[in-house]
Amino acid sequence: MIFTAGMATAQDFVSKFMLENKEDTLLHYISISPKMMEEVLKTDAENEKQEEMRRIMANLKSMQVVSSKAKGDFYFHKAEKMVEKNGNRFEPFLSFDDRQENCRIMVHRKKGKIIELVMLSYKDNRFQVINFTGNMNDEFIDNLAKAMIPKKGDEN
Amino acid sequence: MDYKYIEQLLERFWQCETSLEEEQILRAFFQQKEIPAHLLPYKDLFAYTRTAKEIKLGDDFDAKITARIEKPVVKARRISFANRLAPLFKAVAVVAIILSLGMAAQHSFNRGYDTDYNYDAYEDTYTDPQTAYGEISDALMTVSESINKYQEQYAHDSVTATAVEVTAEKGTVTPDSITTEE
Repeated sequence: MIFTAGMATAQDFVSKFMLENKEDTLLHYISISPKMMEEVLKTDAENEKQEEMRRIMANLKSMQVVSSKAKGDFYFHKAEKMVEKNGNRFEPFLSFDDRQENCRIMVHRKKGKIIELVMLSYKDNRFQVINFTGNMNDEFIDNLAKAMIPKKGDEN
Repeated sequence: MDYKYIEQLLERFWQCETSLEEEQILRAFFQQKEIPAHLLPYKDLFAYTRTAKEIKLGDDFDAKITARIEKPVVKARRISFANRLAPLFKAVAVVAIILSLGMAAQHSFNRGYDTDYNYDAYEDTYTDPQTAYGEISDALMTVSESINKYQEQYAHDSVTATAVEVTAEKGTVTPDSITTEE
């Protein structure tokens, strides 16, 4: 029973991050619960692009976003430290650091499935964490990547 | 004193020919304090028969033997049908508890992604699904952009690295050889 209770109180990355920074007024927080996610999926798609987006969203259970328009570097490193603390939970998926942007994507896998995806980014002193939970896999990420590539018909 | 008579009685005693009266005479003789030395070894025998005769069973002997021999009385008890099935009920209860615990443990281990997080604590920022759709869509696009950017950068780095390797084989590795690929 203790184990069950422990499982029930598991927190996603952003929830933990916000718990440590709840007093910080610079941070902007957005939360989409599983219930709202279901409501979103019920809405009608107006075009093929939206239909494709809904197919991707169908793999999601919740979304949380934290962002800041200032002190991006500070928050980014704070979030990175939190990732390091939870090193056994997250596996790095990709990261790049160029002069314009610093970005890291981590995933939390369980029984082969990606149950949480976290993206940390820092660009132009702006900080953002995007946190999805759901039933994802590598194919989902592949489809997500393709979603931004303009199709041949869309180019003209 | 002449002890011939006693000796004769003794002789007959050993031959098992003495009468009860004669044996009584022998016992009476050996009860005396003064007994000649050659007859003294027989004193204990007749004294023993006398003392053995005095040993009797106690008054409680019969009661003790009877108590040991007689089986304890088993009283008949009426057992109800429910009482008769009680062991079965107990066994069923134990099996049910074990199965419940097993199923609970299995359930805990097999819980899917949807119960891994405390979703009850989530509070929606938006009440309008369309607005929420816009936010989710934007976030997905941002992640998608980052993945594509990484793939582009990775592909570029691979090309650059290959160029460096090729030039190194030719023995002309210079920083310029890396930048010429750009």
